[in-house]
Amino acid sequence: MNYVDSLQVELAAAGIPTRRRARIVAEFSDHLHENPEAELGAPRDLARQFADELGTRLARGTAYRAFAALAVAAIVLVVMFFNGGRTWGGWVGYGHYPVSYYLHRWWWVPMMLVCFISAQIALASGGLALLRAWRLRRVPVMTAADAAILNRRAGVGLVCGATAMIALPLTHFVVDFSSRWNTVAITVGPALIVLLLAMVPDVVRAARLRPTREGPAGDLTADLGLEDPRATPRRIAVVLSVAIVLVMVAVGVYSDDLYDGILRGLFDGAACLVGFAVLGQYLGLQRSGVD
Amino acid sequence: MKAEELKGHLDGLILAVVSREPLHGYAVIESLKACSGGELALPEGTVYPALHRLEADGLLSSKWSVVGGRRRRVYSITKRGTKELGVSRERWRVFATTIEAVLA
Repeated sequence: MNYVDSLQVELAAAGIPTRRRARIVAEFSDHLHENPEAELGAPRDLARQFADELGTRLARGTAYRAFAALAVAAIVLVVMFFNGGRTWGGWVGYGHYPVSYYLHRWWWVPMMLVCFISAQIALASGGLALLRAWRLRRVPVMTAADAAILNRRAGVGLVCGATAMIALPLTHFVVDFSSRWNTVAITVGPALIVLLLAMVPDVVRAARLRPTREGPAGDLTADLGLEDPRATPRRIAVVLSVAIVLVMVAVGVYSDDLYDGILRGLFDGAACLVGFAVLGQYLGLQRSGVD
Repeated sequence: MKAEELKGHLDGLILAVVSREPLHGYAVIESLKACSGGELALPEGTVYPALHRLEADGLLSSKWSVVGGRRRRVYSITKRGTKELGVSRERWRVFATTIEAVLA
C-alpha cells in the first residue's frame, strides 16, 4: 500500500466525509507528484489532525445552526400560541386552555405531555448546545468528549423540537376553531418539523467526524462559567426548578387562575428535575459519578 | 526553525504567502521556505489541515484547477483573511517589539 492509499484508509477511519477525503487525497497526490521525496508525515497523524480541526468546527457550527433553527421554531410556536390564544380570548401561557381542559379528553393528556416535555427538552438542549459552542468558540481543537456532548445536545434539541412541533397542527385540529390560525398552524407546523429534521444529518456527520483529543468535558458549571464550588449541577437544577414553579405561579396569578398556575408550575418544575436526572449525564450537565 | 516554535504563527504565515498570489498546497510550502531563506522547514503535511481550517473559518477560499491533467486545489485569501492577516501582523509587531526590548 503506497502513501496515498494509507492516507485514504486513515482518513476514512477518522470519519472524514467522502468528498473531503477525495479532496485531501487529490491534494497530497499533487504534492507528491511535485516532490516524490516530500516528507508529509505519518498518515494516521495527519488523519487525526484533519479530524481534530474539522471535527471541532463541524461540531461547533452544527450546534450554532441547530440553535438557530430551534429559535425560529420557538418564536413561531410562541407567536402561534399567543395569537391563537388572543384570537380565542385566552392569554399567552400555554395558550387559551387551562390544564384541566386537557384532562377532559384522555388522549389529549399523553399527546400534550409529549409535546410540552419535548418542547422543554428542545429548549434546554438547544440552549445548552449554544452555550457550550460559545464557550469553546476560540478553542482550535476541542476534546472528543466535548464534541460528543455538543453533538448530543444539538441532536436531542432538533429531534425534540420536531416532536414538539407536532403540537402545533394537532392542537388546532382537535380544538377545531375556525380561525385563520388553524390554516397557518397546519402548514407551519409540518414545515418546521421538516426544517428541524433536515438538520439531523448534519449532526450525524459531525458525530462521525469527531476530534481525537482526549480529555474531560466540562459540566453545567463550566458552561455557565461558575467557579464557586458550592454551585454544583444538581443545585443549579434545583434552583432552576424552584424558579420555574414561582414564575408559573406568578403567571397563574396574572391570569386570575392561581390553581392552574400552581399545577403548571409543579408540573414544569418536576419535569425540569426529572429531565436533569434522566438526561443530565447524556447531555453533559453533570459528569458521571459526580454530583 | 522547529515546527514547535511556529505554533501559533502558522496561520499568519500561510495567510501572508497566499495574500501575495493564489497558491496550491505545495506552492504554499515552497513559498514559506523561499521567503524565510529555508528557515521555515515545517513538516509539509501539517500545512494541509491548516489550509482546510483557514478555509472553514472563511479566511481562505479555494477552487480546483487542472495542471498537466492533475487536479490541483488553489487557495486565495478572502476579505476576512486579509483583515485577519493585518491583526496577525500587528500582534506579531507588538510581540516582537516586547521580546526585543527585554532581550536586547
